[in-house]
Amino acid sequence: MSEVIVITSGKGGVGKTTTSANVGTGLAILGYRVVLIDTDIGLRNLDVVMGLENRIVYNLVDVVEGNCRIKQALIKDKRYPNLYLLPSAQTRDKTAVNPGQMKKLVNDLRGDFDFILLDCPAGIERGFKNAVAGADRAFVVTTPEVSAIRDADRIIGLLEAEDMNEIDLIVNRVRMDMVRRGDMMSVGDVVDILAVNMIGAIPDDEDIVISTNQGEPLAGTDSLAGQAYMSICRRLVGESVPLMNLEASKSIFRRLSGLLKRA
Amino acid sequence: MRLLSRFLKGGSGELAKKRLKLILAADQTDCSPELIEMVKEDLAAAVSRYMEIDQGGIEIQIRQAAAGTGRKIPALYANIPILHMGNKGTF
Repeated sequence: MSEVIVITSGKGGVGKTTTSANVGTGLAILGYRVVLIDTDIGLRNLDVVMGLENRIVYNLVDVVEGNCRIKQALIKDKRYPNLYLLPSAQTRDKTAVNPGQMKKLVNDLRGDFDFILLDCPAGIERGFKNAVAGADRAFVVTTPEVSAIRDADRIIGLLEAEDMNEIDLIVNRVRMDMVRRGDMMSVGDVVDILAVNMIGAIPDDEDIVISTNQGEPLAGTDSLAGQAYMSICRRLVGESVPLMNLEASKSIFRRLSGLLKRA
Repeated sequence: MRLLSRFLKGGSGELAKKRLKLILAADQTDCSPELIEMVKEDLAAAVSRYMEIDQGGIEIQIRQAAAGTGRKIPALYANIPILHMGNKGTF
């Protein structure tokens, strides 16, 4: 039984693509067959975050237009068994694909994969509608900031209007030092305001930038964000994983070195 | 002002939460008091075609209700007192 998950947010830059890459990688590490689909036509990024940009031959639009078979466009990630990427087209725009075509594409892939992850573009227009059309459930990514939460609320409303029955929240870039001094909404505050189930919170972690620089997702490493993403994957497959204590998880060593730097 | 509010109410996180609650309420209902009044008049006109109602006693509210997913969504509640059931001979 395959599950199709759209990763969306409304606002740009909150970490949809990073989340897609890491949840996909994490699920592959757990042994599931996963395909990541970049649905951001015209602004493709998932290939770069995954470090697979040099291996693109065909893309999503080629598949939809029948220029190639699906299997020809799928890029196999050599680092992880069972992880594939269907890249987006860079030289076309969102109108190159319609929701019906996306639905068909996803349904054609269901037989071969346990999880199909759709990385949704920012915004609520055609690209969003395309990505949502084929999905069974949604992950809404937000950060603890007013603008991102407002957009997340709007997106949740739109998903409900589309009869999406399972919507989970991911609170990204949580800075516990700021939460502690009262200058950032806590994960609890965000969940309280948006009133949907939260599947995980990700601490703000420098390692994410480094991992994107390198084109190697963090899931499976012992970095904070990597562990948090892995927890999301485990919850997704039905394990009960307690929420990470983002506060205590910063190692004493790092905290000391931070103090020394400041002094 | 900023420093003051910081001392009085804790950090800016609390302020963000308060602002968000107001912003989301406005976003979700997406209507002004004038619009509510127009809905009220139209509802009264529509219902009074079928039964005699107390025009002055109509109450209209937009309240949060639980959607299928358990999330709160706005819903229109109308309380229209009926004076006499049945039509008033208009039909």
